[in-house]
Amino acid sequence: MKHVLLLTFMSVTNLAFAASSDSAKPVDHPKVLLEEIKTLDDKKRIIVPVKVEAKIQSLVSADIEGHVTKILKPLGSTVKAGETILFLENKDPGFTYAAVPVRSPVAGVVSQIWTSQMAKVSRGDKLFTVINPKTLKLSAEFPSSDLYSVSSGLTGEFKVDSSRDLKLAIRVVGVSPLVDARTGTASAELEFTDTQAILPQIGTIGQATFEINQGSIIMIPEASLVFQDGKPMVRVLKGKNEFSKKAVVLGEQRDSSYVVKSGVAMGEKIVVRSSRPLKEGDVLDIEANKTEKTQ
Amino acid sequence: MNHLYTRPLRVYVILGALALWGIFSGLQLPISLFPNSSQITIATNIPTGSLSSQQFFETYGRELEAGLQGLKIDSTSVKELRAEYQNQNTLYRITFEWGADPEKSLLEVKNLVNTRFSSASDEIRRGIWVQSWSENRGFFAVSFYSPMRSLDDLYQTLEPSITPVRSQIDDAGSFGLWNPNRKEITISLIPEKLAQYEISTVQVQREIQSAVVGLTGGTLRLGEKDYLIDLPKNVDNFAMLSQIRVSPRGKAAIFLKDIAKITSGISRDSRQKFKTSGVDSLILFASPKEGGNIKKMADQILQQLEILRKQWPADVEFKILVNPSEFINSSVLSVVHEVFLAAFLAVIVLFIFIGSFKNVVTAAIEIPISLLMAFILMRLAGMNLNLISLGGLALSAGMNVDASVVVLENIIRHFEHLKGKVLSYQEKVALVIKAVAEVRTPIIASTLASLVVFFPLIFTQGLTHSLLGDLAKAVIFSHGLSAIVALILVPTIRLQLLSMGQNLESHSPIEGLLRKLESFYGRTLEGFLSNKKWQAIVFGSVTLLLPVLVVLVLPRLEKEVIGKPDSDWLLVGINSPAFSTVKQMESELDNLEDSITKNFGDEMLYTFTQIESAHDGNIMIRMKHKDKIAAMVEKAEETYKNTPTLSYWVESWNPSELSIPDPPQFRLEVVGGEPVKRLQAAQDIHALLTEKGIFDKVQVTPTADKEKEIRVQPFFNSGSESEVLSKEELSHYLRVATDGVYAERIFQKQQELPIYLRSASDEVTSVDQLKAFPVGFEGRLIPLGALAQISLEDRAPRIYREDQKSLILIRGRLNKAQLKFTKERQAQASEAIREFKSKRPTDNTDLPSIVEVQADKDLQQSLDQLKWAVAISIALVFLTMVIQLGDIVHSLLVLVAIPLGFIGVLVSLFVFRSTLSLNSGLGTILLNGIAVANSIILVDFIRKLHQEGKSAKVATVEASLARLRPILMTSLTTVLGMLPIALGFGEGGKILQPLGIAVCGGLWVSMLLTLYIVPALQYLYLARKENKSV
Repeated sequence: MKHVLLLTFMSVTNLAFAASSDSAKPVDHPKVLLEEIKTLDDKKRIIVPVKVEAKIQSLVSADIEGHVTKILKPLGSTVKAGETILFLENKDPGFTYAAVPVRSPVAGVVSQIWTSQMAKVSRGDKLFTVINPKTLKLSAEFPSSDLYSVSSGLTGEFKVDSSRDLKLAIRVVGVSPLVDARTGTASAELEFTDTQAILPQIGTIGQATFEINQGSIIMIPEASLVFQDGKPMVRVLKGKNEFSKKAVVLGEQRDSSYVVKSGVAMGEKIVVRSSRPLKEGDVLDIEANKTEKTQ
Repeated sequence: MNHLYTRPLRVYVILGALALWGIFSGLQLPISLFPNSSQITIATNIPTGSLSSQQFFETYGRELEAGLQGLKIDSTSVKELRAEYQNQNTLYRITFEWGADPEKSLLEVKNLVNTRFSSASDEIRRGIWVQSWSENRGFFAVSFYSPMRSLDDLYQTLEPSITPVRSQIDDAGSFGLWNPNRKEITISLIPEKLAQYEISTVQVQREIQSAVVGLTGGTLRLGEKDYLIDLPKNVDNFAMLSQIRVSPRGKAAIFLKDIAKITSGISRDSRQKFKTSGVDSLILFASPKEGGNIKKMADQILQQLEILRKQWPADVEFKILVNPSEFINSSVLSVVHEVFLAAFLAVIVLFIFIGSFKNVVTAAIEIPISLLMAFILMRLAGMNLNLISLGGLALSAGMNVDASVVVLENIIRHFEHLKGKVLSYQEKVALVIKAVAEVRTPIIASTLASLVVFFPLIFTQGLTHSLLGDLAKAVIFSHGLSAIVALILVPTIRLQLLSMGQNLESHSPIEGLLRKLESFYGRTLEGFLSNKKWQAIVFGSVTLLLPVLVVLVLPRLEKEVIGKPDSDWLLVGINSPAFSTVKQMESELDNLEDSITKNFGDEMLYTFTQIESAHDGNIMIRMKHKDKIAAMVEKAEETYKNTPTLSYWVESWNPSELSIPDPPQFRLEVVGGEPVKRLQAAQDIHALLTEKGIFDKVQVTPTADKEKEIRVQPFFNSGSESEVLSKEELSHYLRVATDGVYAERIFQKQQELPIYLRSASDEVTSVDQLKAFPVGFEGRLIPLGALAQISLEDRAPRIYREDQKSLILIRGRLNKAQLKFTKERQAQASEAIREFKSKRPTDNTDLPSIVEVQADKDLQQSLDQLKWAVAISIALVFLTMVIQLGDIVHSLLVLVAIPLGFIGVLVSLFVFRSTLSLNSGLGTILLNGIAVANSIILVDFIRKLHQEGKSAKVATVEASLARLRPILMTSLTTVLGMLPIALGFGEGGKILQPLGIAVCGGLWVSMLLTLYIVPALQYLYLARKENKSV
């Protein structure tokens, strides 16, 4: 009788052992996102803030001491070169109190009047500014570290933050050789190259972007790197859905990508992201039509 | 006692009064999910100010750590101290041993930190906070809605009445109404304009602050009165903000409107977001303070909301999203059901054996009475009603009738001897007293024996003590009282019934079957005693079975601290490092929500979405039924598989209050050495373990990544500040351009509107863009890149310390389904680490050491303590036996039941896929007490008959036959009483299931084997003694 009981226990135990040792789990192929290695132009980007100014701009100040008797051309008037803007009456009896005309040295628009009728001015006081709104220039300051790559003739792009679609071609006219110690910059003059375009207003502040080609490079996203013994590696697609690890030598980091000095070649496909950490011998389940955008 | 039995009314009134007191006490007992002892962790965050993490550690950290580690709250000391030195903050987490007082712990840490930092810089001191910390604390959430109001309107209607309620909620730690439409005033500064007018962001903030804040100019006494000089705020509404002058004195007037766009709208800063069933809603969140009772808190809030509801407009409705109280109630209630079921089953067993309804009632009445009286003691002991203490009551319900049964049986036996005689009342009294006196000592002794096993639990510590203390106390109270009640109440009722001339004879309804069973037992036992071959086989296989089970089965049992109750919440979370905005996470969660509705629509009630950050969000799904939750978790795991850009996590969530440790399967510490080398080693090991795929998850604390930072190093001239931009201005400008800076706040229509300074330009997404930010100087525009070196650099490794030791922690975890391979995986991992270590250079002394640490220390410690408790309880039972029997050999014979019980425990735990946990350990302890009761009845009676002169064989068979029924009755009441627990009825039952399985399986097997093996061993012993003496 007893042995029956015991045998039952033993067999139940054995059954349970058998059940629990059945550990075969379905093969789990990791899903991966791939990126094809491409050679890119190595562009050094220099972005600086720029201000739109009038190329022709004249600030006229008083040569004599006296009163402003009459302002002929109010603010915003279009004037020709040599046209009288205002009259100054000389206080000096030696000059017989004659009204002296003050003329605009350039053709353009009266953009600023620093004085008013019947105001007393001294020698050297600012009177008015005439600018030519048709001819524009851009002024910028380049950090000294970028100066070696900036020279006259360098072309770039101008854009204003508030109107994103507006992009205008610009060119460096000249760079001052003098670096201001206080700001660490050198002043430069730029101009719009497309004269036909609708140009921004004087006073507008925007960004000038210059891209200087320094040859070609290979870049990989930071997410694609794995480390082994502290050395960076990438997982390169081998055959249809296998992979092998390859060591890479990295250059500088640019935002979320790295420049690769050596290790991968054009046309190779590397794993950027995977649904789980990859182990040797994994068969990859490649996610179609979803590839990370190459920077 | 004499007087007691003859005055039934007095006994009934006293016991009735005690029962009423018991009911009253029971109703007063606070209800919670787990015993109210807890493990306190206090966190303190200290800003590092201008110091780097390394400098901070050297200046303050080392000393502070020593101070914190040395803290003592009453007699509890610090169990673990974790410190994370980050770049701007340092976080210390101080975990005390179990049972420390929460308020005192908080106060002590606060005092220490305040003392240590009393002379630190203002920047550090202002940012210090100390609060209790919980990784998994339940919370309460209610959403508000109205068909007629906008969320803003609703918020303004409700907020003024809800916020003051906080003071009414005793146990609330955090409490607040969350508004998804939280408004802010955004001042979008236009960098170009700032540059053009050469105005710094610091200046803008200063001007705004001075405009919206009113000041005073002291008081002036005019005549007899004091007059306050008031400089009122210039700006107190949104429209006037644009008129704030921002240019410095002496320069042309520039107003805020000239340099910024001023808007008011939904806060851009809201990284957190919550939705109910896909819709934004107002949500009231509350979570209990450390040591607080979450159920009490939830009940109080609901009560307050019901009161407030009357003040609110009729269209305002609220819906309870997460209510732990409901969950706790239903869990606790289900255990209460088990108590009743256990009692009912015990009564059924009694009825089957006794037959008479009156007799059954006489014995069973003590179940509720001892239970109610146990409530009195529980209240006095400061316990509460929880799954554990109620579980103890459920367990004892079946055991409690034992004493009554014995008393009852003995009285019946005495009266059976005098069948047919007419007895006077005095004779009846004398007879009852005699019958009770006969069993009094054995009852007290056997009750003591089953309670003495709990004695060692008093000496356990920490988790074991906190969790099992309540269970042990509940069993001791109710079972101990049951013996006293049995000795008082049962004879009184009997005597009263007898004096009323009632016939008390009864026969079991299955008398025929029992007789057949008895004759079968008699025959088989006799056969077994005379067959040496069978004896050899049975003894041999049983002796072999136990070590085999210990070696093969024991290590294969899953270990856990304690089971968790089922819940009706399914949680699906998303993790995505690739997302950069909350919007992205929100749209992904919207997709998930759609999919969940499609897949689980029929099973769910509603969802609750929480977005923690751009990378982290989850959807909580309230299911209709709890019983399907396990299947739903599996279905969700099956449905939501990780993709390269998203990883999912699925679990069932319950608002548990107790931080039950969830240890990893593998734990490794990289200790000492240079920080950089330590990080390097951690990275290598992380890669190694990940590559081998030994664990499903490998976590590294603080981090496995070499972290980078954007370093902005201003080019200052010869130590002085730059003429263009000071460091403070630079930092402020950068913060405005990236995160935004809080400037001030204004109140409009009683609503607080924070004012934030942000940048009007596009979001910065590259370092080059940052370099191009314009700064105005002498009419020129200077790019930020010219004023400072801006570059991506390696960040100094973070410092993480545990118990004053710098280390990096690597933890491996297995998924639930893989847990049975824990041992193998641990071995694989250890092997891999050994190999890794062997490849490291040995001559370099700077290298950090790699130490494998027992991962489940807490659990292992608890189980080790239990092992000792089991061993001590066996020793105590043995001592009790020796005292009672006065004979070592017979005492040992009694103890044979214990290893037989172990066989049953191991087999049933394994077969029913249960776990090695605190509860199954406790079940084993409990079993020791009960199992010996069976064998003691046998051994004692066989010995008695043998001493009376019967031959060893006759004595053995006769005694065994006579004791079959009592053994069956007491064992079956206990086994059946625990059956509902063993089957895990109700979600509360899941917690105690291992205990029920251990006791049921163990007792069942032990009873069957005891019936044959103990008599056989005793027969062999007695026969040998006979032979010797011949």
